[in-house]
Order: sequence, then structure tokens, then C-alpha cells
Amino acid sequence: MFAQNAIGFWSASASYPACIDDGHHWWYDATDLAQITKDGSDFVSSFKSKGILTRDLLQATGTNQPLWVTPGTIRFDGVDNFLKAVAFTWNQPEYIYLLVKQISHQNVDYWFDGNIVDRGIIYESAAPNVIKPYAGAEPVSTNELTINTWGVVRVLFNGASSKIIVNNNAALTGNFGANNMGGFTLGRSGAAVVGNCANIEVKDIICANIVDAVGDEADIYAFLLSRKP
Amino acid sequence: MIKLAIYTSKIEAQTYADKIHQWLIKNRKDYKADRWCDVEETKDQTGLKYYVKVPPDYEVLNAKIALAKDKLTLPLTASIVDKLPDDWRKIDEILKGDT
Repeated sequence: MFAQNAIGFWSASASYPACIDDGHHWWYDATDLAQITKDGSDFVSSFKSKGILTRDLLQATGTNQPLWVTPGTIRFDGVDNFLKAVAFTWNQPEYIYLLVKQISHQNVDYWFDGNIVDRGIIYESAAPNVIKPYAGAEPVSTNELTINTWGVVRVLFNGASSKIIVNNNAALTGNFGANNMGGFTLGRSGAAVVGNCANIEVKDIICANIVDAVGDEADIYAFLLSRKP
Repeated sequence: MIKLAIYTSKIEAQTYADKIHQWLIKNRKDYKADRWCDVEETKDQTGLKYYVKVPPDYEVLNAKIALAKDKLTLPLTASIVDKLPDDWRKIDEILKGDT
């Protein structure tokens, strides 16, 4: 983005990490109403992505539409709300950053998935407050995100070099499996498996089809942290 | 709260879902959906039941259209897409929405 300074020159003033425009990232921004189609009761039928890649999230069935909440978040009711992109090529490495709040916790509720079931997920396990990443294997879990509290969760699905980080805690690493996402489903598993909708609220989601450089990863984390509600 | 209208007839349930959809087109500004919901089904000891979710603003905005006379009320977080809670009959008897 650009802003005009007092003497009439144009100067760059990046309001988001530059890497988002590199053609490998896309960003869902719930504060930008130009990217959101919602009805008079704030139920969302379209959540468009920003960046060069187009990965819009859609929901054509009324009762499945999540709720947009002032001043700019999207809340999934944990009953039947989800958004889903048309299938696209998304193979590992897959990097997903979420500014998210887990409103309530229920076993086997999916925060997100790929185009079909269990392609690349974070899901809630039976133990209170525990979430797990999975793309064919689940060697790690974490309870570092407190219920009903906003936090930044980042997960990299990259075979044996996968990792998940909650806020600024230490990375939990391991082989999360080799499944490729092939799309993006937010708030539910990728297939119409009943009972898997998560009760979460999101503000920003930034996705990438590369392993981010250390500097880019730090920039994105700092950016999301600055946008914490 | 999530509210459901329960039917023993799938056709009646679909009719009610279609009615809600038409009502939303007319009454909810910028409503954008191809359909309100898919009719869900569950089985209990008396056979199959079909249920339709009622939008949260249906009663608030709908002052004139008669509401379903009997509705099952569940907590917001109930997994109604999976099955009805085990004790749902304790909440009320078999229910039928308006058609």
C-alpha cells in the first residue's frame, strides 16, 4: 500500500508483510469488508483471499454460514458452520498461520482441513484444551492456547520437518504425515462428516505453499500479534 | 439457542425448509444462499425423524408469520448435525413445525 506524504511524494508504507504479495501466500482478513459477502444478519457466504493467489472460501447453504462479528472477526458456531474453497492444488509444504480463538472445546472438532477429510488439519482432542495437527500422523499435541483467548497458531505440514507453534512457545516438531491438502475448508473437516464443526472465531488466516524464510515467518507472526483483538 | 422443527415426513420437513428460505429472501437484507439447509434425519425408537434448523433471527424478524408450534430447543453447542441428544424426548414430545 502507498500513502502520499506532506510534500506530495508517494512512499511505500507496507501495512502487512511484503511476502504476502510474493505469489506463494494468500490471506483471509476478516476486518476487510471488501473481501466478505454477508447478509443483513451478518452471515457470511463468501470470504475472499488477498494476495496474488485466489483461494476464496464459500458457503451457499444458509444454515452453514458463519457469523461475521463487529469489528471484524468470523465466528463458527460449532454446530454446522463452515466455509470451503473450490479444490485447488496445494501440496506440502503447506504453512498456515491463524489468529484464532477457541470458544469451546469438543473432541474431534476440526479447525480446518484440506479439500477432503484429514488432508491437513488441526483438531481438538478429547483432553481439555488440547489440539493436534495431523496430515497422516499426529506425533505432537499442545494445550498452550487457552480456551476463549485469542492467540497465533502456526502449523507447517512438511513431512518429517513439520511443526506447530502456539504464540511464542517452542516449536513442536515431528512428522505430521504426507497428506496433501488440495484445498481449504475452514471450521470443519474437508468432507461431509457429521459432528466435526469447531466452535472457533478467526480474524486472520495466512496460508503459504512454501516453507517461509525465518524473516518472513517472524514478520507474519509479529503482524498477526499486532492485530490481536 | 438452536431451534429445530421436527417432522416425521421428509416432504413436510423439506417444505418447511423451503418456506424458511423464501422467508429469508423476503425478510433478511442481502440474504445470499442457494438454500436454507439440507433436511437432516435421525432415527429413534419410533422411526425416522427429519429436522429443520430455524434461523436465529427468524422469530426476531418474523412478527406475522406463525412459528412452528412445537420446537425442540437445544444448547448452541449441541452437535445436532450428528444426532439428537439422548434425552431429547425429555425436553418435549414429538414435535411438528408449521407448514
